[in-house]
Amino acid sequence: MNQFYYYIFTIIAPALFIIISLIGIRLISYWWSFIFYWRRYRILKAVTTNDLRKLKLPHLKIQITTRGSEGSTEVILRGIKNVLQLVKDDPIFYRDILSVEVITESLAQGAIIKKAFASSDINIDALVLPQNYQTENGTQLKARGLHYVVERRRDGWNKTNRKTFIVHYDEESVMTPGELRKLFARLSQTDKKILEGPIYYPLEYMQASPLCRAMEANRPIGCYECRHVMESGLPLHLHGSNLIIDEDIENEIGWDIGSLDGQAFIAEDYVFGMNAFVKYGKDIFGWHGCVMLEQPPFSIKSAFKQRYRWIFGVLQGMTMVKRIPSFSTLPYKIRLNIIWGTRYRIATFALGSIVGILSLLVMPLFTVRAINYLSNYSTQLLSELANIWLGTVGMMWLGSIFIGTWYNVIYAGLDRWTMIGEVAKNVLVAPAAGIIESSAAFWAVIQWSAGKRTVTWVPTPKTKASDIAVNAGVQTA
Amino acid sequence: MNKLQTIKHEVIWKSSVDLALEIMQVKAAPMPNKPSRSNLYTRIKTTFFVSGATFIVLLYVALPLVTALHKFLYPVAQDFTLVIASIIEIAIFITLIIMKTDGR
Repeated sequence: MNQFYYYIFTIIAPALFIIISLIGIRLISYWWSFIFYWRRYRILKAVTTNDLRKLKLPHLKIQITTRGSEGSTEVILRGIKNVLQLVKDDPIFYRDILSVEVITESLAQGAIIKKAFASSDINIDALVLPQNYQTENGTQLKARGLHYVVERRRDGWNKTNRKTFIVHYDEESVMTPGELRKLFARLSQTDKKILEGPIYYPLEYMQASPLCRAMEANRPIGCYECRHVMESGLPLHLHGSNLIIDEDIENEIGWDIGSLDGQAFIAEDYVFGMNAFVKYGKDIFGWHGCVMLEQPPFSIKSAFKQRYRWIFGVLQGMTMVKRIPSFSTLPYKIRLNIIWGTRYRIATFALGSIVGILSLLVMPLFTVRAINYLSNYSTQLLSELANIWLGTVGMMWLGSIFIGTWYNVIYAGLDRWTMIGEVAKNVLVAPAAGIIESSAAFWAVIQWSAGKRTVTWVPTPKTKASDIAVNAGVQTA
Repeated sequence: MNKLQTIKHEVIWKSSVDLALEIMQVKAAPMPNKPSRSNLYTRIKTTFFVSGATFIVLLYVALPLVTALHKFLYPVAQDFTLVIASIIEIAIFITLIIMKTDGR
């Protein structure tokens, strides 16, 4: 039995080592950004309303694009209420520089939002997407709503007399007043047209399943890489929330991204970023460093579907990019970076599931042999360098869970003991959470490779009740 | 739709918007996470999770590093002592950066 197991090990170990190394190299890029450029990640200096009065401020239009599914109204109201917290500082001052626009597919939701904020100090408007609305290129899903707003703005809807930025929110997004003030200050001084910032996931935190919380721990450290790609101007991924776009640029590019062989795009943010890159080049991209708060998916099923959509959407986007006529006019090195950079990112995500499962098989032998070696009973299984590399990758991986959980729990309103327990728990379940999360990516790649192209847009449920209903297959409004 | 139906529809529509709004306003607190308070049970759970996390770190980080550095470390001191001391040092360094960037 031992011989058989050892034989299996000699086959698995080299493959495993190569895959771990691929993932390790990506982890180095996170850590490089974390250790050497952490000052650029977030704006830490507090900004007051008085400070803002001295600046030439742009107008910020906070745009929440929603399908209007069950559970979304409560979380949208929460986001807007946080904006109004800021307005309380000085309603007259903020009236001219801040507004909120909700674009929804639900008539009832539009009515609720208009009614709720009818007497608010800033303009809070809701736009209901007409059911029969069609874009010129037949764009579907979220991009259809996004383009409808663009068309209305081109016609002069809610036009302002200042330079204007659109701050894209997801349904559940929240920016605290302090972060919104920092955002005003940052945008008053930038010449960039498309900017992103970090997202943490502390909202409704303890309502989510423990494995979902562990999965979300990977995301804030991923934002360190996001900072790097945005500042280098190669938008290998552009997340659709905490995405800030100069209104003129957004109106010019629009969201009428069409479809891919008759199938709607589900990663409209990636496609928009690539369209902007091809048209304007790298200099328009930047990083604003103001934090947005969101919530984790409540159930493993929802988290799995969400990850699946990300990867499937990026695979769609990559195919589309290669078909843009002007893409072929870009320098060879840039094309290579876009295509292979995206492929590498997808591969490291998807291969995590293989590493996770194979590690579970190999770990018992590795552990026993290592202890025997330390007791001078046997020789080493791997060379010293290989062991150092594996230990370092392990440290970077668990370290990234540690960092991500910290950022997530710091705003979750937990006491110190629960916070420490949460960080430890996420490290403890990281091997299982990692397998589940990357299995979704792996499955998306398999499905795509097998020729599957059909997509649906079912937003991740925003309340526990709607999550249960959606995953039980109950039709929601 | 006749006039009576239209009025009926509008009354239902308006009152349903009011009712929905009332429900949503209650549900949509500015920040829904209520600060929790630790009790003995929380502390026992935390101790358990910290032990578990330590085991995972030993397995995925300390063991390969100790194995690799064994022959260099052995003449100096106990392997685990040195490697774990180094890991703690790195953890403190990381923690300092996180504390700088977490924005509290």
